[in-house]
Amino acid sequence: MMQFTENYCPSPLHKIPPLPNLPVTKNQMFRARPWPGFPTPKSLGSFGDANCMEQLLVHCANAIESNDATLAQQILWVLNNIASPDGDSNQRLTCGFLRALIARAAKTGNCKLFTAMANVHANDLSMNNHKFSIIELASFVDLTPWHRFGFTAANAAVLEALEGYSVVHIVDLSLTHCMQIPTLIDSIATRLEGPPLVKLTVAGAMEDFPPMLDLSYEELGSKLVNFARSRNVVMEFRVIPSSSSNGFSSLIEQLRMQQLVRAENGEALVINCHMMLHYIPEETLSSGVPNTSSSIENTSLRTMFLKALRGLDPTIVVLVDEDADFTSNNLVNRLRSAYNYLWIPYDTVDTFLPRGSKQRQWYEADLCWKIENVISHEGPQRVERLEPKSKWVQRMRNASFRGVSFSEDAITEVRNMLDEHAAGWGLKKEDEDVVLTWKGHNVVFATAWIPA
Amino acid sequence: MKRDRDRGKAEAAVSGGTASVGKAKMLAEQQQQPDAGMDELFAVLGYKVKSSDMADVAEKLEQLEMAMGTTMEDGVSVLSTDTVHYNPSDLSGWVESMLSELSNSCSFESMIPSQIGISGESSCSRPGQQDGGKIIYDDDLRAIPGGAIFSNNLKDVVDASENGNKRMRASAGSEFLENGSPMAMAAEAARPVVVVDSQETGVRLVHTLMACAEAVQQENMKLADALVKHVGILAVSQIGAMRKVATYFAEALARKIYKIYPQDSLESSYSDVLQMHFYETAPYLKFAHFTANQAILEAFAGATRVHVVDFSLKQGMQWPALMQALALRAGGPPAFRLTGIGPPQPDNTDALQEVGWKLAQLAETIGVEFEFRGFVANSLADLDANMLDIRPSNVETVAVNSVFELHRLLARPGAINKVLNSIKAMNPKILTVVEQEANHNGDVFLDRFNEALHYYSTMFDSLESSGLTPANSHDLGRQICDVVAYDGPERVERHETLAQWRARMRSAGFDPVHLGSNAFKQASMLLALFAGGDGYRVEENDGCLMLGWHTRPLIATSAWRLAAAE
Repeated sequence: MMQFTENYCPSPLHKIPPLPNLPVTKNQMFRARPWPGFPTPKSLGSFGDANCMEQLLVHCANAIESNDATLAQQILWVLNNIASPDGDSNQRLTCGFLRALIARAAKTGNCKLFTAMANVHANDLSMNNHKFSIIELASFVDLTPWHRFGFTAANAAVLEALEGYSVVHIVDLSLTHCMQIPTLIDSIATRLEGPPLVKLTVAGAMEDFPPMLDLSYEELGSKLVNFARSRNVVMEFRVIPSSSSNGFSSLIEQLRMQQLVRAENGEALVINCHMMLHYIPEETLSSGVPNTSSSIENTSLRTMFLKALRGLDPTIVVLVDEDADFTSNNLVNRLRSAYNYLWIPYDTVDTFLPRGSKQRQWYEADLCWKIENVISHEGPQRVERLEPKSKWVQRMRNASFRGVSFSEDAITEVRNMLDEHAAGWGLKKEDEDVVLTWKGHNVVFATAWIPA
Repeated sequence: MKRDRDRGKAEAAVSGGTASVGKAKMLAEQQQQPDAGMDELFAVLGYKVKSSDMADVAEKLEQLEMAMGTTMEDGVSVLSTDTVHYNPSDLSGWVESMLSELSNSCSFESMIPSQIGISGESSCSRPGQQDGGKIIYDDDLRAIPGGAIFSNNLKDVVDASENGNKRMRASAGSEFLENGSPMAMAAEAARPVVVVDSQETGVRLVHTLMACAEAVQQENMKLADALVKHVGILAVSQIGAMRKVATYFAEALARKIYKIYPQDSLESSYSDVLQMHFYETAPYLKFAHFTANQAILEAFAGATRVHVVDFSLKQGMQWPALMQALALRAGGPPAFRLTGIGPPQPDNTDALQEVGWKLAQLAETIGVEFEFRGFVANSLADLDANMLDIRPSNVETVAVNSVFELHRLLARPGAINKVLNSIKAMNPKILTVVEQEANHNGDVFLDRFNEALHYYSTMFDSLESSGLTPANSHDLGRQICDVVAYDGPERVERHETLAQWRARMRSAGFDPVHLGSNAFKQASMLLALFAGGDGYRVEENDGCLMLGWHTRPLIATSAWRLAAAE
C-alpha cells in the first residue's frame, strides 16, 4: 500500500445537501444494481450455454419492460458479443431474439433511431423475406417434415373421408399456399375410383406472413388446375379474398351461401387448416366482437370461426398447427415460450441445409420474422398467436366437433415419410392425435374432426 | 461604438454597404475624444461610451424589442425561422429590412437606424484581432472584448440551454442583440430597466464571465471582483443548465480571485455514489465502458488467462458486462484476473476489496475463474509494474484500462512518462484510454477558461436533456472549479484532446489499435436506444470513437499497443 501526502481532488464550494434521489449508503446502491444471477453452467448439463443465453434474454426483456436502461444496455452489449448470427444454432437463435428485443426497445424507448438499428444490422435488415416461386416453395417445403408431417397425416384422413363422394369441396387454409394439394390430388387420382370433381377454395392472402409467394393466387390456381388435369382429375379453383385478422369472415359468408347447393349435390366439404388458424385473434386480443348470447363470456374471433365452421356441417376438418403457446400478454413469459420452442427449427436446419446456402438464409429469415413478431409487436400486429394442442382440442370440442383417430395406414405413411429425413424426427400418438417430435420434443400436432 | 458627433461619419460608412470599419480606425477616432463621462464598466469591454448615451440607446432598443415582441405574439416569427447571414458591417441595412418586415406598428424607424449605425460600426471589428493589449481568442470561441459579434459557437453556449421561443434566432439577429446588450447593461446601471428576454441576459452572462476571466488574466482583481458579482446577479435570471454553468464558473472565478481553496475534501465514498448516479443517468461513462470493453474483449480473443489492470476501479461497474461476455464466449471463458487501483479512503475502509469481493461473487455465479488484487495509491505514478505481479505474456494476456485518469498525471512533471513506461513494462496486449475531449491544460488561463466554458456548457446542455441531477452537476462543478481556480499540482483536471494524446502516446512508443466497426455500431445502437436525448452522436475518428453532443465531441476512447519493434 502506497501513501503519498499529496492533495487529490479539490473539493466543491458548498456543502452538498443530501441528494434526495440517492439511497442512503453506497453499499445499498451497489446492491441495487447487481448483475442478474442465474444458474451455474455446470448444473445445466449440455444445455448450459443455451440456458444462460435464455436467462440473459429474459433479464434483458425485464430490463426493457421496466425501463432499466443501464441494465438493458449492458445485457444487450453482452448478447451482441456472444450471439453471433453466424455461430452455432444456439447463438443464431439468441441473435434472432436479440434483434427482436432491440426492435422492441426501439419502439418503446426514447429513441429516434431506426437508422441506428439499421446501421447496426445493415446487412441483416436486407434479409427482407424471400418471395418464393412455386418450384422454390415446393422443394423448400419438402426439405423437412415440418409441413410434410401435417400434409401426410391430413391427406390420409381426408382421403378416407372422401370415399363415395362424387364432388369434393376442399377449403385449404394453409400457410404453405396449397403445397399440400399436389400430393392430395395424386392420392385422389390413384386411390379413388372414378376420381371426384374437386373444387378447391382458398382464402386469398391479404396479409403477408412468411413464407411469401411471388405469384398471385390466380396464377397459382391455374398451375394447380393444370397439374390436376395431368392426373386426370377435374379441378375448379377459386380464391375468396379473406383475412385471418377478421376470422376469415368473407370466406365463411361465401361458404354459407353454398350450403344449399352442396346439400343438393351430395358434396363433401373438407376444411384443411394447416398452420393458419393461429393467426386468427384469440381472447387475449379483444376483438371488439359483440357477444349476443352472454355478455360475460369473452368471445374471440377464433371461437366464432370454429363455431361458423361447425355451422357449415363439414365432412371433415383437419387441424394442423405448431405445438406451443405464444399467447401470453407478459413479454417475459412469451419470450421463454418462444425461446423454448424456436430452438427446434434452428437445431434441425443443420440436418437439411448447408451453411451459406440461400435456402438456409430464407429459412432463418422467416424464423427471425416470427421471433420479431412475437417479441417486438403488440396488439393486432402481433399475429403469431400459437396455442398448444390441448387448447385447440378444447376449442374444437366446445364448437361441437368430435375427434377422430388417424388410421394405422395413415400412421404408417407418416412414419415412412419420416424415414426420409434425419434420425431426430419422431412421431407419437396422443389419444386420437398424432404429434411430430424432434429429439422427443413436441413440434407439430395433427388432429382430425367431424361434427359431433 | 460612436458617439453622436461621429454619427455622420458612421452613417456614411454604413450606408456604403460593405464598408467595414476596422477596430483600429475606430479606436483611433475614439482616442481623439476626451474620456468624459465614460462608463467604467464598459471601458474594459472595449466600449468608450457615455452612460447618458447608453440610456438613450437602451430605450430605443427596448422599444424595438417590444415591437418585435408584439410581432412574435401575433404568430409571425420572422426572425426565428430566418437563417440568413448578414454582413455585420451592414447592420443598419439589416435592421431596416427587419423593421419594414414588421407590421406598421413600428413608429420609430426613423430613429433607430442611426443608432444602429453607431452600434453597427463597433460590431464590425473582427474576431481575434489584437489591439492594444486585447486578447486574441481561441478559434472555437469567437468573442471580441466588448463582445459585439459572436460566432455561432458562442451563441450556442447561450442558446443551448434555452429552449422555447427566442425572439431572434438568425445569427444577425443575435449579433444585433448581443451588440445591444452592453448598452442595455449600462442602461441598467444608469436607470433600472427590467429586461425580460433571458436569452439576452444569457448572452450578457457569458460575456461578463469572459470579461471577468480576462480581468483575472490581466490580474486586475478589482475589476474581476466587480464582474464576478455581476455574473451572480445575471445568473439568477437563468434556469437549468445555463444557470448551473454560470454559477459554477462564477464560483470558480471567485475562488481564483480571492484565493480561497477549502481544505475539506469530499468524502471519497460519497463521490463514488455520485459517480454511480452519473453512470445511471448520463451516457458518458457507459459509452466509455462499452467501447473500452469491446476493444478488450476482442484483444482477449483466444487467450486462456487474462489480466485487466484498471487504473481507477471505483465501483467496478465496467467489469460485470465484460466478465459475462467472456463467460459465454465460444470456447469457454478464460481465467480472469483483475487488478484494481484506487485512492486511499478517508474512513480507512478497504473499498477496493469490497468491490473485488462482489465481482468474485459474480464470477462464481457465471462460472469464471477469478482473481482480484487491489492497490491503493494517491497517484498512478506511485506504482511500478513489478508491484502488480504481471505474469509473462505466454501465461497471461494483459489489458490496461484507464478511464478519465491519465490527465491527472499531467499535474506533476514526469508523472505521465513514468506511468507510460510502467504500462510498457506490463507488456499489455492492449491499453484502453478514455479521456475528455478538450484542451483544459493550456498555459494561458484565459484560453483554459474559454475552452472550459464551451466544453462544460455543452456537457451541461446534454445532461439537461437526459435529466440533470444534483449528482451529475456536482461532479462537473468540481471539475470546473479545478480547471479554473486551481493551478500547479493541485490542478488535476488537465484534460487534453485526442490529438494531443495521440502525439503523446506515439512518442512514448505506442501504436494505435483501431476500434473496429463493431464497436462503432454497438455504441451507436446502445446510445440510440437509451440516450434519453437525441443530440448525442457517436463519431469515428481514425480508429478512435468519440461521443459528443451535436457537433461537439465530449469524450474520446482510443486503444493502444506497444509499438512494433524495428
